[in-house]
Amino acid sequence: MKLIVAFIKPQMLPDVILALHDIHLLPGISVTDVRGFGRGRAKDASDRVTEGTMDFLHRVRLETVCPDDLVEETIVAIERNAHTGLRGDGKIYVANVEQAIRISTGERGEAAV
Amino acid sequence: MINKIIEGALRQKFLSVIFALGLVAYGVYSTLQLNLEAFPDVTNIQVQINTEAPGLAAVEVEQLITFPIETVMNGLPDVTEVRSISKTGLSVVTVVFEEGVDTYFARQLVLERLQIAKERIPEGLGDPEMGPITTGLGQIYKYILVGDNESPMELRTINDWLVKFQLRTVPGVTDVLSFGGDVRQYQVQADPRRLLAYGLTFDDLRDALQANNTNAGGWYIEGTQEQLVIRGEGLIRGGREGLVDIENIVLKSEDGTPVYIRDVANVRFGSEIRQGAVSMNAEGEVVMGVVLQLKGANTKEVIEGVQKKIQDIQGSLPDGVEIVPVYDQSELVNQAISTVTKALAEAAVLIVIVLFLFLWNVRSALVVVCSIPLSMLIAFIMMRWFGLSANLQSLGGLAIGIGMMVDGSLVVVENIVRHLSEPAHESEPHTHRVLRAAQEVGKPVFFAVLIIIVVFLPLFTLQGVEGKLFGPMAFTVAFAMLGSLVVALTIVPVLSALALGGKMSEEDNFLMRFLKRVYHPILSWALAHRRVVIGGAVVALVSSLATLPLLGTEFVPELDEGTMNVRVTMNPSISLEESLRIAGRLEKKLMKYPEVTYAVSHVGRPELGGDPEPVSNNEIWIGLEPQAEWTTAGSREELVRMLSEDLGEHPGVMLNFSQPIATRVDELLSGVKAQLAVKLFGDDLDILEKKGKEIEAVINAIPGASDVQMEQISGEAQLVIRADRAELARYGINVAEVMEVVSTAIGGDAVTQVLEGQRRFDVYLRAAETYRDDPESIGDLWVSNDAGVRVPLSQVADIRLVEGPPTVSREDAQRRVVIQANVRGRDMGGFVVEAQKELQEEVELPAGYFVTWGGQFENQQRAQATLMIVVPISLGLIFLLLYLSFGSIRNALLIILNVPFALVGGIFALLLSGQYLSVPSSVGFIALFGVAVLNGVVMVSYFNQLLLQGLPMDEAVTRGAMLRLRPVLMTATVASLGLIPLLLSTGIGSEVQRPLATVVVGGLVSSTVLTLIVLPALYRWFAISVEPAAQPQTGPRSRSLQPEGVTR
Repeated sequence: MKLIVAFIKPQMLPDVILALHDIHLLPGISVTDVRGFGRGRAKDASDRVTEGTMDFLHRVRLETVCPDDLVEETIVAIERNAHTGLRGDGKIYVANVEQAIRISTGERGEAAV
Repeated sequence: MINKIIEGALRQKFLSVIFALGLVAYGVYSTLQLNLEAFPDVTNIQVQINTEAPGLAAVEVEQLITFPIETVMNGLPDVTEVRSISKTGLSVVTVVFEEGVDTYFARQLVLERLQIAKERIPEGLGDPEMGPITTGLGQIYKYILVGDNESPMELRTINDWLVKFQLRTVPGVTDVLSFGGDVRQYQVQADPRRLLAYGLTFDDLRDALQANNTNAGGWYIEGTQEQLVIRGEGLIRGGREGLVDIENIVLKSEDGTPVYIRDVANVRFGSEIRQGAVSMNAEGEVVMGVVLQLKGANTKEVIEGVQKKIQDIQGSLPDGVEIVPVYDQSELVNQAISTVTKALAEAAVLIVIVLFLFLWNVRSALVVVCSIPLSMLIAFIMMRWFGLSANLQSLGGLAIGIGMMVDGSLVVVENIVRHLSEPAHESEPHTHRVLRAAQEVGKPVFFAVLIIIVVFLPLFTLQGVEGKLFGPMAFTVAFAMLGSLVVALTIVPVLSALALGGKMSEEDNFLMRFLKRVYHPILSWALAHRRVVIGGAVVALVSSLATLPLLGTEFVPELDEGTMNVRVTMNPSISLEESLRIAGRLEKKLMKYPEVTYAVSHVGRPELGGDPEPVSNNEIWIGLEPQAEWTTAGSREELVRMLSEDLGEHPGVMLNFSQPIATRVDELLSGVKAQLAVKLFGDDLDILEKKGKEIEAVINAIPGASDVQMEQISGEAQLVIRADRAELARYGINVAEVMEVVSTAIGGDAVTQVLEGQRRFDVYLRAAETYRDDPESIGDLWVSNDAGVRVPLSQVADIRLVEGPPTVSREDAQRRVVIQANVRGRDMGGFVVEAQKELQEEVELPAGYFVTWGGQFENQQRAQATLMIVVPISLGLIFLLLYLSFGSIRNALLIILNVPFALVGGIFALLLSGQYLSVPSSVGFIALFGVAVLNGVVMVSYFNQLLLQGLPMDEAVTRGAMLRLRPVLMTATVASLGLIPLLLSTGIGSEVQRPLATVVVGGLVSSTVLTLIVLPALYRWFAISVEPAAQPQTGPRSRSLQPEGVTR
C-alpha cells in the first residue's frame, strides 16, 4: 500500500484524470484545489494569484492510496499527462501506508483500499 | 466565470433549449413591434414660430415681428441657434435646442417666452404661433383632390373642412396642410366713391358688419310644466343667403331712408389672397393636402392609417370628387427596408455555403448559422427596449455585423468539431468533450467579441446628423454582437452537444487539404525570412498611407429617395399666375421623359406650418419609375444632367436639383436647401447683395460647382406709400388714418366670420378691385378723419415704385445672405478647400462682414474632428482589453499591430473603387479593426496555449498557425462575404452602405494575409515568457513527440 500525492498544473487536470480512469484497478483518487508557492516564490509567474499581500500559484493536489503493483502505472500516468517541460509542472510523492480500514464493512489492510 | 457560464448551459441542456425557444418567441414579438422608417430622423430639436402678418413687406416683418421674437428667444437655456426668415406677410423664427432636450419641454419654454414677444409686437400685426411637431421626414403623404367639374375653390373647401378634419384624427398625424386652390370668402367690395357720397368710411362698414353678425342665449323661461330655452338668432346665414344677409345690413339712416351695404358695396364670394398654388402634370391647378407626421411616430403605421382613412373619406365625398395619392413615403420605407433585408438574406445564404465548404458537415454549419437569427432577435429585443426604430441604418448595422455575428459561434463550433474528430477517450462522456472544447476557446471568444463592441464605441460619440445617422447603426451592431456572445457561449455549445454525434470525420475536406498545402510552404518561408516579410508589410502600410491624400472626402453619400425634386427660382417680382404658367410649361417638359411618373409644382407656400416660400419659388416633385426600367438615362446623375439642360433652356429660371427628404432635412438643419452654404453676415442689405454676387461668381467658376445660387434679397417690386407729414399737418390727419387706408382699403381685412355648420369663412372687407389695381387709382382713394376732412391719398402721401428685398434672413441676431451650391462629380472636401482659397484671394469684405461655411461640409468637419479624438481612445481601450485578456503587454501589442495593416486593404479598396473617405467609410474602418483584432486574438491565444504546453517556439507557431488556418480563414471569409450583397446592391439606400462594405471587404483581405503570415513571423518577438525546466527533458514520456492531430 502506497500513498501517492501529486501537485500538478490545473490546466493539465483533465488529461491526467482521463488517463487515471484507464487504470482499471485504481481504487480512486481525491482532488483538491490548492494554492502555494515553489522555488520561484510565485513572484513572477503570469498565472499567480495575489491574496492580500501574498502571491500564490494555483495547483491541483491529487491523492490516492493504491496497492503496490499499481504505483508505477499511476505515477507514469500522472507524470506523462502533467508534463509540459516548463518550470512548475509539479511533483509526485510516494509514501508507505501502514493501515487501511474500510468503514462500511470494517475490513482491514490491502483489502480495504 | 466564462467557463462557469458554458458549463451551466451544458449541464442544463433542456433549460437552455427552452430559453432559446423563449428568446425566439420574444424576439419575433419585439420585431413586429418595432417602428419602421426609411432613414433615421436626423432633424435637430427645434421649434418654429410662425407669424402671419397680412400684407406687411419683408423689412417691416423683420423689424416689427421677427426682431422682438428673436430677441426673447435668444435668452432661452440650451438654445444653440436662433435663425429667422422674414418674407412678405410671414415671419418664421426657428429656435434650435441642444441635443437631448425634450421636444415638448422645448416647446414649453418657447411658449412661455412667446407671451413676452407678443407684447412687444405692435397690436394687430400678427399673432405668433408654434409650428407643427414634425421632422425632416415628416411629409409622409401627399394627395390631390380632383373633381369632374368642381372649381379649385370648391375642392379647397372640401379639403379644408372634410378631408383634413378626418385625416387629423389618424394617430400619428400632427397636421394636414392644404396647398393650392382658393379659400372661399364672403367679400364685401366697397366702392370708395359711393362711401364718400354717403359720407361713410371703411370703419363704418367694419363696425356695421361686426354689429350685425351675432347670436345670443337668454337662458329659459318657465311655463306651467316645461321650460323654454331662449335663443336669439342674428348670425349671417351660410351660403348665398348669407350674401343677401350682408347686403341688407344697414349702415345708417338718412332722414328715414336706410343706407344698406348693397348701396355702397358689391357683396359676393371671392377667394382669399393667396401665396401659393399647386399644379400637376401640366394639367393645371389642383388642390393638395400634405400629411405631416408627428415626431417619433411609426411611419409605416401612420401611412397605413392614413390610407385606410382616405378610403373611408372617399365614400363621403361629393360625386366625381376623388382623392388621388401623389407621394407616399411608405414606398420608400419598403424599398429601404427591402434593400437591407435582401442583403441580409443573401449574406446568410453565402455564409451557410462557406461554412459548409470549410466544415464539410451540414449539421455543424447549421449550428453556426443558428447564431445569426438568434443574435438578430436579441438585437431586435434590445432595439425595442432602447426605443430604436428599424430603418436603413439600424438594419444596415445588422448587415455589417452579420459576418461577425457568426464569428464567436464559429470559433466555438470549429473547436468542438476538431475535438470530436480526435480519437475519443472511452471514459469521457460526450458532453464533457464538448464542454472542454468550448471552454478552451471561451475566453478568447469573449474578449474578441467584447473588443468588437468596444470598437463601435466611437460611433456613440458622434454628434449632429452623423450621430443620428450612425448612432443607431452602432447600437444595433453592439446589440447583435452582445447577442452573438450570449449565443456562442450558451446555446451553441448545447446545440453542438445535441446535434453533433460522437464520430466526426477526422479527415480534412478537399478545400482544407488544398489550402493547407498552399499555406504550409508560405508559412515556412515566412518564418525563415522574417525580416523580408516584415519589411514588405511596412512598405505596404507606408504606401497605403501615402495614397491617403489622393482620396477625396465627403460627408455621407447621397441617399436615393426614388423621388426627385427641383427648385425653380424665378424673378422675385413674378406674380403667382405667371409662376404657375411657367410651372405648367416645365411640367410638360418633365412629363416627356418616360422615367417621370408625375410632376407636381408647389408654387409659393401652403398654409401656415409649411415651408415659407415666396411665389417666385416653385418646388417641383418628380416621381420616378424604378431605376431598372429607365430608358433615356442610366443613372440618377445622368437624368439630373439631362433634366437640368432641358429645363434650363427656359429663360429667367434658376434650378436646383435635390430630393424631397434631403431638401427638407437640409432646410430644417441649416435653413439652406443645398449641400454647401456660404453664409455672408453683415448689416446692410445692399452690401450683402453686392458681395454675395461676387462670392457667387467665384464659386460658380470652381469645377464641380452646380446649382450655385444666391438667396434673393432684392428685386421685389414694391409700391411704397410714404405719408407726407407736412401735408398731413395741414389737413389735421393722422398717419394712422393714412395707414388705415393702406391696410383696409387696399390690403383688406377679415372683419368677421360666417358659420356654415362647422365651416367658418371670413367676411373680407376691401375696396373693389378697380379702385386699387394701379398706382393712380390708389392715389385717388380718400383719406378721412373724424372731423370729416377728406382728401385723396395722393395729396397726403408720396406714392412710388421701388425695388425691395423679398426676404430678410437672420442668424445669430445678424442679417445674412446665403450663397448655396451643390457639388457634382467631385468630392465635397476638396471643393471646399479650393473655394475657400479662391474666396480669400478674390473677394474683399468690408469691416463687420464675414463669411462662414455651412451645410454638409460643416457636418463632415465635425464628424472628422470627433473621430480624430475618439478613434485613438477606442484603440487604447482595445489595447487595455487585450492586456486584460492575455495578461501580457507584448501579446497585446502584437495584436494591436493588426490594426494599421488592416487599413492597407481598406484604403486601396476605396481608391480602386473610386469612392471617397466619408463617415460611412470611417465606420467601415472601425468595423474592420474589430475583425482584424478578432483574428489576431484567435491566433495568438492558441500560440500561447501551445507554448504553455511546452512546445518549442517554432513548432508552436507552425502548428498553431496550421490548426488555426481554418477558423481564421472562415471568420474572414464569412465577414467579408456577409458584406458582398451590400457591396453589390443597387437598391434604395445602398449608397450609404457601399463605402463601408468596400472598406471592410478590402481590409479583411489585407488583415487576413497579415494574420496568417506576418503575425506568426512576428510572434517570436512578442511571445509571452515561458521558462523551460532547468534540464529540458525529452524522451518517450514527452508529449511534444505525439503525432500531429492528437495534440490538444
